[in-house]
Amino acid sequence: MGAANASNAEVGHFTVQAKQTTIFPLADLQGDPEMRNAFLVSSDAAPGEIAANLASTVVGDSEREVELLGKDSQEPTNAGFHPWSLSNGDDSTLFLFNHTAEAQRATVKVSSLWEKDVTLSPFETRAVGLRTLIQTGVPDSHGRILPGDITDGQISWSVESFGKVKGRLLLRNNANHMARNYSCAGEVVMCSAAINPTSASLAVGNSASFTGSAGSCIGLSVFDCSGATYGGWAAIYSWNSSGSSISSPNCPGSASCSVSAIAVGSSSLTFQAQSQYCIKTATANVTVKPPCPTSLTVDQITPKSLPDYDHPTWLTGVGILARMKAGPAGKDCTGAVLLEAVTPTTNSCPSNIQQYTKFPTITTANNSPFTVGSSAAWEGSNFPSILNDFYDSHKIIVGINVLGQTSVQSCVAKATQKYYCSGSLVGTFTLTNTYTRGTINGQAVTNVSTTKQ
Amino acid sequence: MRIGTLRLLLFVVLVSAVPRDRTCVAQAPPTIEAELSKYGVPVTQLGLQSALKDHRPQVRGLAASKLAAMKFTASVPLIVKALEGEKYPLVKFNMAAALVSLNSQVGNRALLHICDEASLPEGLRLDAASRLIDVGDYGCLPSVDNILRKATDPSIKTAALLDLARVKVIPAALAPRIHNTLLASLQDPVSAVRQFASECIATLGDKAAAPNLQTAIANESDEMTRAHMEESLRALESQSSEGPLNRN
Repeated sequence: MGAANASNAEVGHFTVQAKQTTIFPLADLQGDPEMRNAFLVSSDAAPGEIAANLASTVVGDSEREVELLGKDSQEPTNAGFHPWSLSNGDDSTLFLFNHTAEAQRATVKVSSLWEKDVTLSPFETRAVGLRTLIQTGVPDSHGRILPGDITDGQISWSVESFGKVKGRLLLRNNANHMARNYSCAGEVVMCSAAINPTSASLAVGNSASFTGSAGSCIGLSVFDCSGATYGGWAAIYSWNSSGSSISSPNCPGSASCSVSAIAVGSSSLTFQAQSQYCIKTATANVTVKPPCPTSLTVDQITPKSLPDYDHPTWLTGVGILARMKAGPAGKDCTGAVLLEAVTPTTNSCPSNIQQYTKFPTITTANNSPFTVGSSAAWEGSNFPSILNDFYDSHKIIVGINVLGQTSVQSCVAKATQKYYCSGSLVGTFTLTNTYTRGTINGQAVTNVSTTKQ
Repeated sequence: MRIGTLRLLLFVVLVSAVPRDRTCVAQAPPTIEAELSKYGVPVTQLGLQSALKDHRPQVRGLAASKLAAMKFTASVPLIVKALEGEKYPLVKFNMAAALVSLNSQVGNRALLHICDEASLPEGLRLDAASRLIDVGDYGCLPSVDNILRKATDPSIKTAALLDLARVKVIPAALAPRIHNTLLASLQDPVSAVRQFASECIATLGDKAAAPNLQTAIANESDEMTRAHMEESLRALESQSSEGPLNRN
């Protein structure tokens, strides 16, 4: 696969008469043992009026003639592919011929196992022997080598420009005195576009970066924008958005783009890749969430004492509804979702009633979320939606008079409550339940008074 | 037959001896919309107006609250009529609060009546005061001060202090009384009450309470409460102008 020093010399000049075939002997030429020779046949005739082929013969043995059809240098292909084999004594060699006066960059792929870029000097013919690749362990552009036991597959090649390089696969079998040439030409075309990530969830004010890429396939024509995936493609990139939740992308020609979340809702960001004949798009969905608060304070407390609204005959309870204010002031957090974690800390109540008096352990994985801006219905009273506020119920009710099970007049249980938004801690509070003896209509009860600080 | 009855009675006695269930709620309460949905009330102007006459008290209150949330001002006469015929205090409260949201003075008067009514639960009275404070009506302040002075339940005291802290202007006649109530609250046996008293002093700009706050900080045994008090003192000392308590 190493670069070769190519030379280009005229070997003959002749005239072909009208409707005649002219044989031009090349017997005096010294061939390259690696067969890295190519012939350029040019004519001043109009396109299609002259056809040329090359025949290699053994003098006196017409059965050993190998004939190569000439390939039209103007044919606007930029790729080729064909199965190869090393089994049963076969040998496969790919020849790439750069028939231009400029260096050309080509990519050779062996199935999906091996891929390497090569640069062909002007008029260079490069021979890529499959057996050599495998036996010598030639690494590809990613450091991969072909498995030693592989005996067949598909080889393909491509060039960035059309009509600059021609390729052939020579399949020969010395034992059988057989040599055949294949040249299934095709076009590497842009056939796909991708965007990464394909979705994003942002808070208002935040931004996210997306990367677009185009993929290529070997198609049957330049207009065939589909086919088996081949590799990447350097296309013309553009970006668009729909919806009003994100800023308009301003990244013309760039393979990456950043957008900002400006309003709660959903929008889509579309990446477009365009080649000469194909246009492909890929879209990412962007969900814009309200911004998380960074602080919380207790804004209002609604205490409730027995009897409980939902269980008026129960003898222990109830607590408070805390209206929590999300901060900082001036930042609209409506719709932000918070989770809580409650961890009991102390409990001075006698052991026989701790099962009733202890705070529950709540983790962020097992609790219902709080939504900033929600209304509330609690203990028969209704609480309106207020900007940047949410409601948190802290109540405990027990059917029995729990202090009546003990000799104490009162006891206290405490817990730590933490609020999280998108995984970040935004507030920590101490919850205190004070249990005291009381009576309602002559019935002994246990009152619960809750504070939150 | 008599043996069978005896067995049944024994069974009933055994069941009632088992402690009844315990419910501990520490979560987001249901929304008004969710409750209406639970009761099958359509959230439309007509559906809600019709629900003002529902036989279930809770539904009548929810309907009024939702009409207010949706700013259906045309519903004010219907809510007023429903309020006049309502006998349940909680439903009255919900209807009055809805009217306040819809800028009807009928609601203000009804809430003022609730917060002044000593026979009603202190929590409900403070809630009525809170709704009026939210709209800048400070007619309940004397009641809030009275409740704060007399209450023994720390949750009632903290609720009253939080109500006071949202007042923008304290009437001059009430200022000395509220100042004294706040000073007394700084010495409350419950740390949460002391904390919210200090924060209320800072919010109301009661600079005359600064020495008492300094003393309270020095005496404070609860670390977190002391930190809140110190923050309140810093906020109070950094205020360049008089607060609501001294503005009159």
